[in-house]
Amino acid sequence: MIGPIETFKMEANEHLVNLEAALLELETNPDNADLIDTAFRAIHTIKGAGGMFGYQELTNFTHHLESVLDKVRNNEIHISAELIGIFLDSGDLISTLLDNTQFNEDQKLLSDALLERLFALVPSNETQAQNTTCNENKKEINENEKHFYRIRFTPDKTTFTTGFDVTPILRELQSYGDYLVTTHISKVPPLVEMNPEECYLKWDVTLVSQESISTIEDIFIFVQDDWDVTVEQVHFQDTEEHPDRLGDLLVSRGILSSDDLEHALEGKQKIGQILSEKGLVDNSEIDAALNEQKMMRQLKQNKASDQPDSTVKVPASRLDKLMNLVGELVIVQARLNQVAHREQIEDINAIAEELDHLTTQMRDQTFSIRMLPIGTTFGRFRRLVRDLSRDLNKKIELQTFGAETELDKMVIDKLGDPLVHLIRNSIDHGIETAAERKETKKPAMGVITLSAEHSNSHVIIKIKDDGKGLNTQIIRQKAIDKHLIKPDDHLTDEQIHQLIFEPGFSTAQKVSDISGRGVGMDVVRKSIVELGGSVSINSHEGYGTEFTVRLPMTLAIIEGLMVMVGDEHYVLPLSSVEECIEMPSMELTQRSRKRLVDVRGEQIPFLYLREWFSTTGNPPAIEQVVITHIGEERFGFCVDEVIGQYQTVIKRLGKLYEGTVGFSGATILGDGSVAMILDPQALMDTANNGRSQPELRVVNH
Amino acid sequence: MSKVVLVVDDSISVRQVVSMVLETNDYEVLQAANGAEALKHLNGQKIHLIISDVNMPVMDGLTFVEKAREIPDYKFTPVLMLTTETDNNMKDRAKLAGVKAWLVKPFQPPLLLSALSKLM
Amino acid sequence: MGLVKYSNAKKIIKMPECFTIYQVKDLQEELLSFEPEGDFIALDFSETKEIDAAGIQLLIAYNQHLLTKNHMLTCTGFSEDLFHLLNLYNPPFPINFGAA
Repeated sequence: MIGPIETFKMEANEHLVNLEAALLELETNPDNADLIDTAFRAIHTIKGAGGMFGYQELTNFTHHLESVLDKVRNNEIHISAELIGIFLDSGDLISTLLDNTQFNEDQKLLSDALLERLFALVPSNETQAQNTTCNENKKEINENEKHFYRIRFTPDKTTFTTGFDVTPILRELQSYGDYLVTTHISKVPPLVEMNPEECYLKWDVTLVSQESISTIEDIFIFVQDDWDVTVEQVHFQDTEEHPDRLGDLLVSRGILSSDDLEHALEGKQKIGQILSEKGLVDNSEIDAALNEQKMMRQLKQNKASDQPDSTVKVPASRLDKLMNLVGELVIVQARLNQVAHREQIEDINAIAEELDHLTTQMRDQTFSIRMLPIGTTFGRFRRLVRDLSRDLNKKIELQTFGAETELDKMVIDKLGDPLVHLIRNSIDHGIETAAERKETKKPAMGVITLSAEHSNSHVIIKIKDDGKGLNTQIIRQKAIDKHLIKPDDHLTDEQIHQLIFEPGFSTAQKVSDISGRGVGMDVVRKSIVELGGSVSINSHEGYGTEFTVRLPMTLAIIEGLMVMVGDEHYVLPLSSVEECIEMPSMELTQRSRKRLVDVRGEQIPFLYLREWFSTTGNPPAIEQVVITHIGEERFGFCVDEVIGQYQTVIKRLGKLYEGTVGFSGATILGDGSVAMILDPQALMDTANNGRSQPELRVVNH
Repeated sequence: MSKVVLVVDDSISVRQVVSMVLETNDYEVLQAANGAEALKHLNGQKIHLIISDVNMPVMDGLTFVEKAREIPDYKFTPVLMLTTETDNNMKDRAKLAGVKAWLVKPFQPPLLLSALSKLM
Repeated sequence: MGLVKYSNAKKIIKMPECFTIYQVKDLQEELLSFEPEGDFIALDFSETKEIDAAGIQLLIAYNQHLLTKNHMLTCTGFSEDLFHLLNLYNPPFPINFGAA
């Protein structure tokens, strides 16, 4: 059997004979469509097959011939004697071109001359028309670099019926690196109603790969027009701390005690200089440490570009187990600290302190495993802003800050929807149309700012727009209509603004598709509160609105304030505690459910926990009130005794406790007993509404 | 079980090289020189993918695909058009017939294989 | 009808050789015709050689359908190849390979 190249040559020669015959006949019969077609197909086939066998120049040459014949075919130009002449000469040239894949000098000159004649007759309307749909040599693989991609795609409904399966796409993505996929099923209609031949699914893929972004995008080459596809590369900043600071290195090398280091650091010159000036450390020691520092930084740099090794996939369950164990460890540590403190034995104190240091590091490290930069969700919002602003015909730019701010993955996952809702709200109700903005002399382009930052053990997320702000009058009227407030209630603007978080409140005149959807701001608040956070609003009419979301960095550990009521321990989240005061005894004479305590002239409502928990026995002579701030409000809890600060691991309550109000979880104490973690927000809401509170037994004091 | 690909092209050399590439990569290949010949292969046997040229004598590629879509066993079979044709009207017509994949000749074998891996 | 075989004793339904876009319309009807008894229903894929995204979408919809009736879908008997294929999707219902 002869090889494909020989077949091609034979075939090409056959086509050239056909071409010549057709051209000659066209001379006398210029409008015969069949003849034109034959000529076209001859050139077309030579071009198509030629490329596969490496006849690149031949392909380019015949491409121009083909374009002209195509125009003839479509009656854009007419056959002329000159044109036929050019094609006959071209056919002769082609037959000499088949022997070699490359043109020789003569052939090059000949082909250029022919094309020149051709273009003189029929101007080429394309520059260099080598339309290859697939990009081949785009893979610029940097061996050592791994990229983090977020890929989302929504196939069009007809995908399956056009024979396009999603499996090959997923398979190819998976073959490129570490692959995590979510199949979104929310758009799948009930089985009874669905048309199973239509595609209702969409996908999110997280991919860590060495491939370039263009390679990833090429996977979607055939569907990029029909599917909704986004491929984003997420950039991480090196968030690692600096354990390689010179001072720390000297300490770890045993050259300097940490106390000496601290003293030395009180001035703020270059550390090496200070230390040698003070005679604490020998110069050569500093030099050695500096060398080590250099090496370490280099290594770190290598490591940073050598990330393939540093990714380990671990089942979530193992991570949870580790988290739990570290949690227990933290509890035992707390207990050890108590004992050491009580016993005042120097040796034990020293050990406890050292262990405490290690435990804290271990806790932080373990928890950092679950930390992700919040920027991983920003892409989604950018998309949202782009799509919605287009739908609403508004011009909006999204600016983001603090993408590197880290947050527990669990929090990030649950935070998506509330943030989407807040941003939707800003787009829909906040930013005005370009025309409205022009009237108020604002730039046509509205700006939504999304920022995240750390503040103590919290993350503060702000969503700010420069739109029209809240209309206090409308909100007030609406709240009155909905019986949320009375017409004669005197509320500050700020208080009125907070009303939009009340259940059943919605200012949109009609439920719009954008921020309507039957979900109100109360749901946003609820889901943020469920995460242990809070949300508040700040708005100026005409200038814009700012939502502030405050969240704990992790859901698993909280800094708590331990209190006692009767024989039971309870924990209040320290982040919401403002101060503890002694309860003036006279306050107890008030028997109403909602009590007030006077704190430097401010009347603050408080909940009498003894009563709330139906605690038996007598209260101590002096009771304490813990004042907390919840959002913008302050609220107190009256307890028997304040034990003190306590770092604690939250255990989620099981299904059995789902109906109970006022607890966000439980924790196990050092002695094995259980303390409930109180949920100040829920308790305050319940106390304020006076509903769903269990029957209380009146306790005599 | 290797997958079956129907290759439709009037150029013997194109069929030959495509078949060679496919067979060395463990696909089973059926060949046809034009649309009419290709239709004869659509006799109920399992075909995982159709690769077809557009410009062919007797019956062109688009007419062939449109006719194939009328046969129940092949109405969802993925089709890859392998052609020098870049005309958008053609592409639109192909799209109507449920053709998403369009690969422009000339092609390099790795490119063809990578295209196939996106389709089945 | 008749693509799937229903074994009443074991509450296991045998799935056909192909579970793809070509079959989903018929399969939808057939799956709807089974009223699950007991607390779970198992689909046996040991004879299935082919499944595509349309098939997986149908399984997802069927799972949602059963959930509204407080039942759960279990899929068993996948060949190793199909098991890997399904895992590409990380579907929201349990899948097992090997014998039902």
